[in-house]
Order: sequence, then C-alpha cells, then structure tokens
Amino acid sequence: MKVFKASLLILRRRAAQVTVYFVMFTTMFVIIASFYSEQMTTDFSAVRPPFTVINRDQDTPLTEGLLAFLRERGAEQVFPDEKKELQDATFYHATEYILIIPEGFDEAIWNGSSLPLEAVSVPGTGKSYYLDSLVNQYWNFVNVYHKAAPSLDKATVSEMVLDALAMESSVEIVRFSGSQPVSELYESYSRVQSYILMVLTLLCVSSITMSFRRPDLHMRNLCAPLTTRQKNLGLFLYCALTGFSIWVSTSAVGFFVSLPSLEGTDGRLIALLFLNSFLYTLTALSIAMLLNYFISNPNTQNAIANFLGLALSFLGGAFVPLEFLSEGLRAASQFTPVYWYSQAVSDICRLAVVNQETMAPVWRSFAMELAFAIAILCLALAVGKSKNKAEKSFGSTRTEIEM
Amino acid sequence: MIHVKNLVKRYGKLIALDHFNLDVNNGEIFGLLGPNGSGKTTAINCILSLLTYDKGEITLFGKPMSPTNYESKRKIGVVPQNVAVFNELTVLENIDYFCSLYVPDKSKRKTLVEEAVAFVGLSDYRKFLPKKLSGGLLRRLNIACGIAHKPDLIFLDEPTVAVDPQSRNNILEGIKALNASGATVVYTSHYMEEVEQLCSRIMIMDKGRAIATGTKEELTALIHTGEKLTVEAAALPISLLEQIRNLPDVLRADYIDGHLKADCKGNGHPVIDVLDLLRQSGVRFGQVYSEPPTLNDVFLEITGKQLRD
Repeated sequence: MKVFKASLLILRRRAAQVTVYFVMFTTMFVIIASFYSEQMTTDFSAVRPPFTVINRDQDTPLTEGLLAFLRERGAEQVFPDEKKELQDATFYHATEYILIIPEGFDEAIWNGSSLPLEAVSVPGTGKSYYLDSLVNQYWNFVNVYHKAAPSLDKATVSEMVLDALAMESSVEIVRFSGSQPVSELYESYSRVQSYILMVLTLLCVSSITMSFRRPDLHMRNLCAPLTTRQKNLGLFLYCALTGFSIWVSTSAVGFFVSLPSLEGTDGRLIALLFLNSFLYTLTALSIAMLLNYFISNPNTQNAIANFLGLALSFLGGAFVPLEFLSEGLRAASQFTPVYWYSQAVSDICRLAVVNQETMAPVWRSFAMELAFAIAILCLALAVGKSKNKAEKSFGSTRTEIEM
Repeated sequence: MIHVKNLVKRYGKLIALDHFNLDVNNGEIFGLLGPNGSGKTTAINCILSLLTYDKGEITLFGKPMSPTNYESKRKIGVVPQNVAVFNELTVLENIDYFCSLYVPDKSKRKTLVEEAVAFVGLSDYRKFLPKKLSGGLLRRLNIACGIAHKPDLIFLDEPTVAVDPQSRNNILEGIKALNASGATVVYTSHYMEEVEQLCSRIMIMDKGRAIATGTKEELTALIHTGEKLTVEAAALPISLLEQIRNLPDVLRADYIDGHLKADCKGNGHPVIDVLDLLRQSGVRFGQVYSEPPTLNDVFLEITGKQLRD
C-alpha cells in the first residue's frame, strides 16, 4: 500500500498536467456540443418575404389572382410607381422583390404570345428566388389551364389555378430514423474518447513509473524490505484506480453533455458503448505499461503520449472516417486497437435491433480489443524481463521481474 | 555484524573487487577510504545485494545476504551517494515513504519521522519540495530518508560530496550521534580528514583490494614515515641540509621556499636534534611545526601514489 499511496501523492503533484488535458478536452467537447444543438433542425416555419407588385396593366382576374397568391406567401409592400422610390425600397431591403406587370401583359399571355415580366430584386437572396419561382409557377399554371381548356374564362382559370396552388405537403421532422439509434453527437464523442483515454492513461501511468524507475530511487527501494510483489501490487492498484477514474470521468462527460440528444436511445446501446470504452481503457493501460520502459523524462512523456494518441486515433478512424483513408492506411489500421474500438462504436450506434445476430460484429470487435490488451501486456512483461536481464548482465542491479 | 570473504566482482574485463575481505563489528564506525574508482561503492552495493558478484560470501547479522533477505534489510539503513528522493513529494512525505517501507505502524512511524526531521535539522522545511532545498539540505533529507526507521546498521556512501563545510560538519556530528545511539556505521569517503575524524576503524582500498585495515594509529604504525617536521628558516646551507639528512631519525629532508621539511622515521622524534643543529650553525629560524603522519602518507607509502590522484 505504501507504493500505492506514494503513487497517488505523486499524481497529486502532477495533477496540473493531467487536469489541463482533461479540461481542454471537456471544454472542446462542450463547445462542439453547443454548436451541434444550435444547428439541429427541430421545427419549421414558412418564410414570408416582402414583395411589391407594380401593375401597369389593367386589373384583371388573372392579375388579381396573382396578387392573392403572392399575398398568401409573402408580405406585400406598397410603393408608388416611381423609379427612385423603388430603388430606395430595394436598397434598404424594405422589399426583396418588385414585380412590374407591363401594360397588355394579361392579354398577351391569354393570346399565347410572350411579353416578359419585369422583376427587380435584391441580388443573390434566397427570398427573391423564391418569389420569382412563385410568379413563374402561377403564370405557368395559367398557361397550362388555358391551353387545356380554352373555353374557360379568366376568372375561372384564376380560381382553378389558386385552388391547385393551395395544395400543400405536410412536413414532419423526425429526430432520427431506425438507421441511427444513437445520436451523431454521442457517436462522435465516443470515437474521440479513444484519444482522450489514451493520452490521459499514458500521462497518469508514466508519471509514476517514471519516478519509480529512476535508477537512484529504484536502488533505494531495492535496499528496503519491499518485496517485488508488494511493489508490483501497489503499482497495479494505482494503474487500475487511475484507469478506472479516467474511464468513468471521460465517459461521464460524454454522456452528460450528450444527454439531450440521447433521449429515447436504447439504454443497452449506451451500456455497450461504456463497455467498449472500458475495454479500450484496458488496452491503453497495457500500452502505458509497455511504454513506461521507454519514458524517462517529462518531455518524452508528453511527446510520446500525444504522438501515439494522435497517430493511433487517426489510423483507427477516431477523427476521420476510415472511408476517407487510403487503401494502405485502412489495411494498416486493422492492426491497431483503435480500429476495433471505432468499428465497435460504428456497429453499436447503428444497432437498430439488438439480438445475437446483430451483436456478432460488436462481440468480435470487443474480443479484438481484449486480445490487443492481453498481447500488449504480455509484451510489456517480456520487455521488463529482458530489461532486467540486461541490467543484471551489465551488473548494475540485482532485481526481480517488475512492472 | 558484516562479514565479507573473498568477494570478486567483475565488470567485463575490469576487476572491481579482487578477493575483497571485510569484517565490521557491532557498534563501530567503519570507514572505507579510497580514491574514486577504488571499489568502495561496488563493495557496498554487493553487500546490500544490489549487485550480483562473481565469487565470495557475504554475511549480515550472521545470515547470508541475498535480495530476498528482508529480515536483514529491515535492520539496514542506506544513504546512497546520489540524493535519491521523490521530487514530487515534500520533505515530510519523502521521509514518511521511506520509513513506511520498514515501519508499517502509522503512529510509530509518525514519531520516527518527526525525530528524523529534527535530527537532520529540517524542521523548518517539512512541506518543502526537494527542488526548493539547497545542496546541503538535500543531503540532509537524503540522510533522514535512510535513518528514519532507526536501523542497526547504516551505510553512508559519500554523504558529504558537494556539501558546504557547515553542512558537512552537521552531517558528521549527526553520524557520531547515530553511532552513539547504538547504530553501527559503514562510511565511505575519499576525504581522509573526515574518515580520520569519524571512524574507529578504517580500511584503505585501492583497485578493488583492501590494502590496509585498522585504527588510524595502527595504520600509521604500518608505515616507516613518522611525524613531519617543518621549520621556517631564512637560509640553509647545503652542508647543513646534508647533516640533517644524516640524523638517525630523519628519513628525508628538503629545503623548499624558505622552509625546511623533514620526514621522520616511525617512532623517532628528531625535533630537538634538528633545532640544535640549526642553532649551532647560526641559522636563524622562525616557526616550527610538527604533524603526525596522515592516512594519505599511509596510502602514499603503500601504493606509491597520492590518495587524491
């Protein structure tokens, strides 16, 4: 317990470094989540853009019908038919669209000849395009109805066109379909969590092993009646506690920040994502134990933690979907634990139905993660043993196998 | 308490310890004196089972020493040559950690830690991190970490290297106090003055071998050189110098920079004879010094080189 307690004390003194990383990641995620929620479309309301109609023709049933149609979908603004007034109106956005119906337009369109409508609008705005399309829609309908039934008078045609254009489609916004049972926000976080887990675990574990592996302290500990088993048990407990704390805290941050988007999500899927990140924490711990033999000072510690965290996460598809990577990189990524972690995240987040068959790829990814954790741990133990042998053959220290 | 027989330690072709023998008795301060690279630290590391060795026997407290002899390790305190403390722990936490490796009882440990802090004079620095301590204070912390559990046997490996004279005196006084409280001390150093001042028995080492062992008096008795005589003289004729050299108790005599320097034979005291000769020859002389032989003389006479070479 003395090694365990000392490890916790050492971590407390180095807490600033770990806290900086944790706060940085958490803040980034909260910011991203806030943008995400703002961008989410949850409601729809029709826009009523301001328009003006200058009718230089007669007031006929057709032009009356057009006005009625436009008034239903926009807000009419009345201005005198004076060039300067109209210019000011568009310049100050008092109106987005001015339609000028030229003299004789009504008769021309009724007789099948073409006389262009004149339209002045604020350039490049969606509203002006919308109003333009409404006008074209109306006159096209008039043309179609008149050609189809030439015997109908203008008033009847106008009435029929307005009836036809009054038909609307109802729009219903669905939060997610069956193909995405877990929100995109939580899925994204789950992917990035692999990087956070890796960096924090490497920092926390190597901070302690770096101290205990310092040659002078290592020798002083060997002088004391501290058995290798006691020392390893202390370090193991420390690694287990820090690994568990990192997993809990990073998972909690992701879960609570994404909570609004997880409404209605199947709890089993969340539990599977938790289990996935837990298995990855075990892999990160194994990697940290392996790397502790190569980390000797805080500079290499930060460099290795960041480089390895970024490289593995990039290769495994935590930041960029694997589809965007080259064939070669995709093939290589399968030899990283992050690949299987990301694969599990993708599979879980698309599990519309949870059953034995759909769960098969998830279990396979879990098994692969566990296999990586065990293999790397074995490698760490082997490296530790060979390092001790090398030390013994050089004659520096007489030690037993240690973590 | 410590028995080492025919210890051989090789680093490749280099023989670090060559049939090294050592016996340290209960309650003494035993000094290992030798130049850098003479094998002092290697000997201690082998005794503590920190190093493997090629041949020999090591017995501590009557039992063979091994890396797993935790019973013996529990009675040993080690103050290594380099300051070995955790940079992230405070003075108090460091001492408590190392003490906890020997003393599991928390309340007993608390008392021991406080006593160690007071013993090395770090009471005002309890909550300081090691990086805030000066070199001398760091050395004191290093000592406190090694002795807090009140060991029966303490190994101090050059604890005064790079320490200012005041801190050095404090450390030496502390070691005497530890010995007075019943601890056996093994002290290594290449400072002969320290060893002379501190140790009841001394072993002089060179090239991995013990070249002489005994009390200071026993060691100086081993050599032909006795006391060293220095006389301030304004001028000294060659003929008179020859007469001095021919005195029966004088080994060597030289006249350097206005000083007559004469090395005397083991038990000889030719001061009166030398001064009589000077007076009779009408040579005026000033101050006269006489020094007993040092361990450096012992080392010089046995190995043909200075202890600090």
